[in-house]
Amino acid sequence: MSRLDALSEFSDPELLSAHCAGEEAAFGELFRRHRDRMWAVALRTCGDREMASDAVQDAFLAAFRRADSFRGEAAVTTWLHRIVVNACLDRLRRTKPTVELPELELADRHDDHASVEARVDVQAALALLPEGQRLALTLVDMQGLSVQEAAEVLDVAEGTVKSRCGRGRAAMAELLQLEPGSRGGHPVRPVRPVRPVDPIAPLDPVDQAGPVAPVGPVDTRAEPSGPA
Amino acid sequence: MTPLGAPSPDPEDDPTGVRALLSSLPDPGPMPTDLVERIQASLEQERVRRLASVDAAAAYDGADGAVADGTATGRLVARVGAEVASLVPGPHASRDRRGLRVLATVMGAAAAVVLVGVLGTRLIGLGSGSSSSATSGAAGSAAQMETNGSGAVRSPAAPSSGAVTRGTPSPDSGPLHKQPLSAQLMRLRVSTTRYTGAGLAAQAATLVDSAVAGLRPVALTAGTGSGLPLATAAGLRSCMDGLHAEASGGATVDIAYYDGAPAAVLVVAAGGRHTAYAVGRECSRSDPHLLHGATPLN
Repeated sequence: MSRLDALSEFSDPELLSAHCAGEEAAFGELFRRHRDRMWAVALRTCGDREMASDAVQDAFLAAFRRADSFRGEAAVTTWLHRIVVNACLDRLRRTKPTVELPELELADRHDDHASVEARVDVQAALALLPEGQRLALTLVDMQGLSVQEAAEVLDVAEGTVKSRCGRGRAAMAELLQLEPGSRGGHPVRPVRPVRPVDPIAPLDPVDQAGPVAPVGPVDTRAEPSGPA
Repeated sequence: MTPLGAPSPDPEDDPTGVRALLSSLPDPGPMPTDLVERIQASLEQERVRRLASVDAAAAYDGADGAVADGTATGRLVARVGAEVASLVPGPHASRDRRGLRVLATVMGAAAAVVLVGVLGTRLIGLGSGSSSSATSGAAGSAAQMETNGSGAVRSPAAPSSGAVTRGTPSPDSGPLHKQPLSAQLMRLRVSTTRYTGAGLAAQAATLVDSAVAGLRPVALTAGTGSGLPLATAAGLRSCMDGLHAEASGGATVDIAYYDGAPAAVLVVAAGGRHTAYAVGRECSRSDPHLLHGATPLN
């Protein structure tokens, strides 16, 4: 069995330990295993391919250098997620928007390319959320992390993650004009343009300031006030 | 309404449908090939940079088997080596990797030459005797020397009064004059074993068996790709010197965890007896980073 074949049978923690012990190919194997997933996290967090490329490179370099800091209590993927998210946030906070966001026109659900347009709609709506809610939804709903894992990645309490997810989903539902009770479908009502330049006040401005006391889930079962 | 004391509703429940919508979005796809190559190149650059600093630390390896790494000498060399390595230009896609390795090796040798010059000057200044004794004793004496430059390197093994010992090896450098343990008697394992203080004796006993899974020979020199000195013969000897551990029958090191933190467990054999130690991964002659002292296994 070749050395690389042997490494492919190592668990993630064993690969990190081997890397710390000087095994040259160990980190490469770790990179190969997790690069696609971390690329997805970076892209969904940054919302920009160039920025995501730089951030994920920063992240893997940081992981290479700080492998010895992994204490083995969480999964290696959780550890990597945290490094990638932090690298993305560093990049995002360094970059100030230089152009105004264009008016946002959400798609007609009857369009032939509805799935692509729906993805654009969703990404655009996500971009309007406060950072904490956007990160929580990205990790839990899009990346499939558990609330506990997401809490470890974001270094907040589980209740905070649940709260941010609840508020974020409610905000997204409002932005996308989703019918209550809809399950994964496209917006079922004709949508109106959303104009981010005409400020839409963050639904949870307090969220930007940091952890807040957990609140109950948002009640989305209220009667719609608008026309059906 | 949820009765008091009853389990809270399923946190995954999402009547808005947003979770299902988000999870149904198509995956962004694999990392682009050009980005894969770019990151691999930067990781390779990082590996070369680490090799350069480790090689510089090991470059000053005297004829008497003196180990540079871990001593004040080694740290000074490593610092010089690190400074030298930092002059290596940053990563560029078009950089010739082979040229970088050659450059790093040359710079490491240059660092060693600088070090000899610095130490020679200091020894002359201290009036430590003939040049031959100054040179051969430099490795030992350097462990006791206090530098007072901007990059002051103080050896913890120096007497507490701070006095500089002139040319006389300290007791701490005693193992330098013994026949070093052959690398063939050293074994390395990398595991995720979570050693504990209470369980060390039982856990480490498995390392006594030379047939235990995962054991392999240690790297002979730092230049063969190791980023951790403890994984090399020289580094392991340095660590055992710091522990004042007798290991005439061999030594096994397991890179693992102790009490939840990254660590290494050593099992040394001498006179038919085995003794275990738990140390930090930076264990060396000057500072063994002892976590758990000598524990007899048989």
